[in-house]
Amino acid sequence: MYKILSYFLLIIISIIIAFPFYWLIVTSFKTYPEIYSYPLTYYPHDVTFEHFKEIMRLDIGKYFINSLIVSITTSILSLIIAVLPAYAFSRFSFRGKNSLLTSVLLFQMFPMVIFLMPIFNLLKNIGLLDTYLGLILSYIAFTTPITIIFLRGFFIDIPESLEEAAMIDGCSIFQAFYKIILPLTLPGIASVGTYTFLFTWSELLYSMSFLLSKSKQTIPTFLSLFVGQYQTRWGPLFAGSLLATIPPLIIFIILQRYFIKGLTSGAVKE
Amino acid sequence: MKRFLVLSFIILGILGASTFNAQTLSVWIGGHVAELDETWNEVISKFEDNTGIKVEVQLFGFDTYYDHLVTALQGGVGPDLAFADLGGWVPTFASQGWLEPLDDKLNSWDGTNEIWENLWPTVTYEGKRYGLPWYTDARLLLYNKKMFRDAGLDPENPPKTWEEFLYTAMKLTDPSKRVYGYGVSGTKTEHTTLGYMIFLYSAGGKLLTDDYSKAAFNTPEGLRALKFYTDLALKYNVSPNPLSYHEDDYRNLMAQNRVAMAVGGPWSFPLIESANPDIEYGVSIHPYAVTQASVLGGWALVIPSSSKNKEGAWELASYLTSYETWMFWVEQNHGPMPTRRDVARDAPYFQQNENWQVIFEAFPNAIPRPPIPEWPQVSEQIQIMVQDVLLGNSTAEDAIKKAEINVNNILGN
Amino acid sequence: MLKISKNEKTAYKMVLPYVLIIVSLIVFLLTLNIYLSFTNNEGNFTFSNYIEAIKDPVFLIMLKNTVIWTICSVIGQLSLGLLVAILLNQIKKGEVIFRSIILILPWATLDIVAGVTWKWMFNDMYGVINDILFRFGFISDYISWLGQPKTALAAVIIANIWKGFSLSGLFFLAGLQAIPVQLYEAAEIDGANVFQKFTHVTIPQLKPILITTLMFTTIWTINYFPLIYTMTGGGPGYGTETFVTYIYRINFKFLEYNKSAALSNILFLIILFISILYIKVLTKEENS
Repeated sequence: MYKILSYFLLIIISIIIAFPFYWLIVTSFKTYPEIYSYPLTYYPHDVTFEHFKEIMRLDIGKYFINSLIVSITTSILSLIIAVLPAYAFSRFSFRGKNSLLTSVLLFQMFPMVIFLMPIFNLLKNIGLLDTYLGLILSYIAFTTPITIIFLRGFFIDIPESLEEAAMIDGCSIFQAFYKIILPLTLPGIASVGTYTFLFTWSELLYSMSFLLSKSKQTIPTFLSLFVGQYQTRWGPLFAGSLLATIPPLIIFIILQRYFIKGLTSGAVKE
Repeated sequence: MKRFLVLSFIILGILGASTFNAQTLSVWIGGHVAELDETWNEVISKFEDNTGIKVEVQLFGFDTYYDHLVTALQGGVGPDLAFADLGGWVPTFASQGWLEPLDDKLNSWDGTNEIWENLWPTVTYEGKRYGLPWYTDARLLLYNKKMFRDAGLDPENPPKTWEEFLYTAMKLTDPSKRVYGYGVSGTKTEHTTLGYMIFLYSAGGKLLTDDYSKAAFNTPEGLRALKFYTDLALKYNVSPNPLSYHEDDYRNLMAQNRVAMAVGGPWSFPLIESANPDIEYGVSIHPYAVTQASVLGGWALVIPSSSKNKEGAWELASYLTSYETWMFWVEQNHGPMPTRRDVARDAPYFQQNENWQVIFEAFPNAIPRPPIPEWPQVSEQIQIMVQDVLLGNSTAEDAIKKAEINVNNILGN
Repeated sequence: MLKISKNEKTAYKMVLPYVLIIVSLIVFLLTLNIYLSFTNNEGNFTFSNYIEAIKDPVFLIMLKNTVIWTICSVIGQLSLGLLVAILLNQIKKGEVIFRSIILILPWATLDIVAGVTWKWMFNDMYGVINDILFRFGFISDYISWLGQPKTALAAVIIANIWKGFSLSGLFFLAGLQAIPVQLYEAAEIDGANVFQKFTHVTIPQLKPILITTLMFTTIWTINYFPLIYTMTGGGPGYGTETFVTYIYRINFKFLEYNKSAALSNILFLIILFISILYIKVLTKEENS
């Protein structure tokens, strides 16, 4: 009985939630006169690919690749950097543990806007402006805190007996970590990795300001091109937005099983 | 593990290596010409072929361009050549020391005399010129001829005085059909300031004193303009809700035959035609009370002081603003409006187009926005003033008084 | 049982490099920010940036907007997230599809994509929201959503709830699935009905997650910039100007770096205060 009600409600909610996305898709296939038509059309009467052709002409493929480079590298680096501290925070108790943990979270509490100019100047002074590395490093400062917090939660869930057993067998603590623990926390790693991926994939402010050469720019900068002075070119804007949404969407859908499992151990525990 | 780390750092190092080529000129383009990427490709390739200098062109959306430019200039890493809006950007940037003065180059260039005189103040700061105006525009009345005809009005005779204008607008308005006579811009954007300025100057008023040091709009003329501008929506109901719409929205509505008149300019022509290929439209000098008035806008080329190739940048700038390049541009795109009088006079497309003739007639009387670094803040006060009246938050008298005080504060009085 | 030697040295080796770098970066940037905020254009020490920032009439407006924006978004996101989590927890078949559409879709959408899509949907003349409301007779005339301060704020809040509720939804779903079935069975034996099971088992079990989610969502919402910027830019008439959009405007449009530094420090203190509050509540919860 409750099951039927649940399904019914879920279907309604799904329709409402998915509607903006539907509208995005539909608009990207409409012609301009139809986009601005009155009365409104709920599906394209005149399907057109012109907007997709235009963004291809404007080289969206290159921006895609740039975004992939930045996002994947940031995700991987974030995880690599965060994994050891997270492990330490989960297993050991040491003086200053709580205050260190808190200070790590400090970055999260600032809006990214205010660090734009200082980081920009910093990157310029160390010669990393207009490089992927510079942008990735700035992202890492914001993604690693959350990564540490989450990974720590996943590590806490794994009984210490596993490491102890491995160490009895002669492994060093580091080996025990990499051979036993890490594989078990794959769900957690997957979840946080995708969070980082999405964050960097959609980030506009820093990527637009730090990547000056056209050849390096990422998708959000490309999309901002269509908000023009006298008109917003909704057609190509939505076409590009649609294409940009596909990678994170696919990754998330594939990995969703791991999220739920990962989140069970995640931020819940102490 | 260690090996992996070392390897990653090497890879990162490669990723980090900047591939900046000092010989390449970089040019940043904003404004609506940024949408004409194909023409840019042609024009730039020709330059590259002629001079052997490589050029990297970057096109930008409007909102993000300003922030991007500001960030780059502030950090001293701007492009070699950039577009800057004639709505006050040049003085703002010049006051921060970000731009290279161009007087020497301008004085020895043959094109300088062809640039319309009233454009130079927009790129001048403390007596020195920092920009080369590239394209310009003037704001006029854009109107829908079909709607005029349907309402029994003569489409070749748009209203000239405010009385005629009000009568026409009311005749064209039919709220039951959601059809309106005139679109009043009231959004929190530059359009509102420009809209008010047209009414202000055509009432015989002034925005700031001639030396730009004090507010000058709190006068009977200024008040009259503010009242009329807002009454069009509040009292006479000839406009859709101004708080949500500005010129560009009205242009789209006009293409749908739902708004009959609005502020527009040369950029409106291709846009309204693409929104509705069957549209019949015209332009005329905006209706006035005392004197014909228009506000000019446009974009100039500036050379950031951080550029390492200022000579090359000037070569590109003078090439882009040359007679030949502009004649080609007009032939290709039928616009925008060049800053060169000779091109305006000679281009066949302009000669045959009566709408463009109206623009050229109006342009010499067009007023620039005050070229001061504080223009964004001043403009904001005008927008707030108009919005306060439209929202019903204050009377026109109070709003204009408050705006005068705030503007004077901003100007340091 | 052999215990791993809680070797503090190893721990520090693992933690300190990262923490040192991050903390020095934070300290460096913070110091710069503080220095800027206490300096004026001529380079002299002054409190004027803070004083001017607070005296500015816009300050109270944007503070009020931030409070409304945050409270409504957080309540909306958490409620919707909880509802969705409960529903998703009830079903087994088709859970992947429903989860994909309801939880993944809004989250995976880029901020600016969400912004422009909702902006277009809320458009007065061509917006689908007005069209639907009009056709169903809910409104007699199109509403100018983004053209009036109050409706604009409502519009960005709605868009934000859509965009952000998945995080809460995911957290709550994970939490619900972690509740041992035995607890519900025990409650049933004690004669509890659905509502009582909810209030006496579900909510208490979810408390830690609720508090953590509440904290993250609150801070994240206060700092959230792209959606409002894309949809309204802070307008109309400062109607949707929040702390972060205001800082952005002062910094980029008006180039008043000192004032924006002062404002961001004020914001930081507010957020710090909120976080400390939450952590206190959370540790009290965990200890009980």
